[in-house]
Amino acid sequence: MPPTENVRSLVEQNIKDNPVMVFSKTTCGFCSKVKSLFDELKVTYKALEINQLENSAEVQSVLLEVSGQQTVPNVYIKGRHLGGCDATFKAHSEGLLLKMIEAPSSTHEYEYDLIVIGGGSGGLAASKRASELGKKVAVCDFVQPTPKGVSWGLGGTCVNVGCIPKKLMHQASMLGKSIEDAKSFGWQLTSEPVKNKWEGMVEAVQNYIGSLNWGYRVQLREKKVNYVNAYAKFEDQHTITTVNRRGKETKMTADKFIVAVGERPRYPDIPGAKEHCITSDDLFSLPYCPGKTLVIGASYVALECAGFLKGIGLDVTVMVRSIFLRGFDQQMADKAAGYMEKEGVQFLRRCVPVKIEQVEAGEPGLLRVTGKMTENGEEVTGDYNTVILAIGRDSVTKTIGLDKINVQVSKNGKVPVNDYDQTNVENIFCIGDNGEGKPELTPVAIHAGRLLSERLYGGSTLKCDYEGVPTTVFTPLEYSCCGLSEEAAIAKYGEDNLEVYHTNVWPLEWSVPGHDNNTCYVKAITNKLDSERVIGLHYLGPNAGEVMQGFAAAMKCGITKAQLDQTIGIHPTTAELFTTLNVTKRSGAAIDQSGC
Amino acid sequence: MKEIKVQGFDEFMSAVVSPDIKDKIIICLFTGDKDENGKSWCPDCVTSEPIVRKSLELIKDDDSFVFVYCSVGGRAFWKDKSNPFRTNDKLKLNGVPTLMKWGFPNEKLVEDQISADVIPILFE
Ligand SMILES: Cc1cc2nc3c(=O)[nH]c(=O)nc-3n(C[C@H](O)[C@H](O)[C@H](O)COP(=O)(O)OP(=O)(O)OC[C@H]3O[C@@H](n4cnc5c(N)ncnc54)[C@H](O)[C@@H]3O)c2cc1C
Repeated sequence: MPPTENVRSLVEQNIKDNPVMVFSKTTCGFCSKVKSLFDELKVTYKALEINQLENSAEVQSVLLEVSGQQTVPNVYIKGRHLGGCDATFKAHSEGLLLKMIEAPSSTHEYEYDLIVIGGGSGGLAASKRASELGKKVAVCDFVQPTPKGVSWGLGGTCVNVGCIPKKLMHQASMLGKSIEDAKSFGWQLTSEPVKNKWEGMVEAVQNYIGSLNWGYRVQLREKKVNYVNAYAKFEDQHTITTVNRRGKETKMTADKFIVAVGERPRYPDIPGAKEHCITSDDLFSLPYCPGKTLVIGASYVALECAGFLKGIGLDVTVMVRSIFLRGFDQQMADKAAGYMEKEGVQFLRRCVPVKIEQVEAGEPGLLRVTGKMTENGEEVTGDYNTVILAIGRDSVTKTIGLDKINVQVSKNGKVPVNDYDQTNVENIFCIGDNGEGKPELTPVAIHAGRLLSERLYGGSTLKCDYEGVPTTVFTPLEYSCCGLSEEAAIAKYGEDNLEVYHTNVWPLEWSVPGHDNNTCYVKAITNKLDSERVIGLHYLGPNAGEVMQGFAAAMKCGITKAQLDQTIGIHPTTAELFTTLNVTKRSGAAIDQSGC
Repeated sequence: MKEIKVQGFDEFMSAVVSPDIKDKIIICLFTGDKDENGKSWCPDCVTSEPIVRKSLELIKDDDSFVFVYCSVGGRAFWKDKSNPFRTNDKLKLNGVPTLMKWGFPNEKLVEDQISADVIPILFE
């Protein structure tokens, strides 16, 4: 028998009228647990003991309809379904339960409390957290196809065309190296050369990305965030227009907005760039092997792509205008690039592209690249199957109507924000790659997004600390660092006030295959004015990211050189060298390794 | 929406390729077998089934959908990691209950994800 309207309105009225509502049975142990928890927390709640009602079965079937949950206890907070006993205790253990109950109710008349523009690392983190804290949230995410027509699913740059595919392809290339090394360790490989099949690698990587896209969509549903797959633009301070794939326009309103639209690759203004070249946005899903490749640029994206393409067996050249890895420690940058050169990546230095022409169409086709040497203006040409542009990325903030609502945007597209990630317009916030002067990294965007929502809706005052963020460049020889580069440290404290300790490193796993013993290198920069506190740590060697993460925590705690020295190493590792650094750069003493 | 009940891997595979449904959107629920008394070895499957059925009402009048209810087998068969439901590339199931759209092995709903809030994502 279908439930009567009376029963339905009984359930709905109870949910509406009681900020904390528990549908319960007097006979149920889990119900008692939940009620005791609320008693303990001194929270006023209403419990409807449905086993004492005549029509308890009907009530339960209405509950299934409205909440998707038939069992008791069935808990609602401020009209939103929380779940049963487990969900209630989970929310409590995460410190969310009281926040949800105590958060002030909305006083505005907009459709949403919060709309997040951009469903990438930062936007997803912020929207999920805000919804967990009881707010009504929507996130708009839309990918503009590349000039080659490539687009992708939910999750932003990192998941689709950034960290994830690039690290997996880096891993593919490192495995090639391991296969080579394996022979020195007694592995007998069949005689034919071992080769990587591009299509196989791309399919595996894209499959994994597909499952991540799906995972994000499911999470948004679970957390009751409304996912709108459409391009958003501001109309006024509380209104956006969204345009979906089919061109359908919808207006949406909210009390507050977070801008997290990320960046896209920059194209140089030269003939043939957009027509013939690809970028990292196309590379990771390229349906055919790129073949002989020219990478233009010396950013970490350029060097990483060049590195893994070389590692899987392609002929790779990098065209570099001036320095490698701008903003990074230049000694380390030169060493990372130097290793690539030793491994067979060709560098065309002090050269800029002038034009790109198609010689032959095809997949891949053949392109003729004309470059100009910056020193003498001499022209150089070369033929490549694929040209990858990696000269930088620009924030895509200029086409979303920020000017209409007077949000200040810098020339380069970055948005100035205060310590609370707030723009000059009080209800508009900005996180992730768009924030001016912020490290452009996924964990930074996620951390900032979570903390922002907790400040907005969870009564928190904690600001995101953008200092001391560790990072890794996944070049063939990985480079990781935390804190200041040597250049930045000198500029900040003066050379005389620093002590720089360093050494070459010969990883044990390099010894048997006979790799060079003076290629890997570590360096610690300390501030003599402040108990030799470690202000910059640099590591060039295998597993760099895994090594640096723990040291980054130590640096957050303010580790000094003396404390580093008192730390006992793990043997045999390369990271242990950080605990025994005793040669200063100033001394000029030898740091060569010859094995022990 | 038509419903088809199948038992075991072979029946499932022949059902989803049958010509009369191959152009439809096939929503599949994989669940543990019930014994002759209607009792299942998989308590989570029992919890999920009414939730799934409730959500299916959203598409009950839509003929572009087909619902395939698949009993995967007994507990011992299921726990064997080499059973075809787990190893077949088009399925790669990790657990029961699983709700998925045929042809999208990366897009599954499992355990708590099988909820009234989430299930409609499969109908989009
Ligand atoms: C090749 C490459 C490798 C990288 N490797 C690493 C790494 O190893 N480690 C690391 O930490 N970081 C890495 N990054 C950087 C990292 O990807 C970014 O820092 C991170 O994704 C920034 O997150 P975000 O939220 O600011 O923006 P994004 O993740 O870029 O998300 C923005 C989203 O907004 C969407 N959008 C844009 N405009 C609109 C609009 N108007 N309406 C609706 N939606 C819109 C975009 O399509 C996108 O989905 C890499 C980046 C690249 C390109």
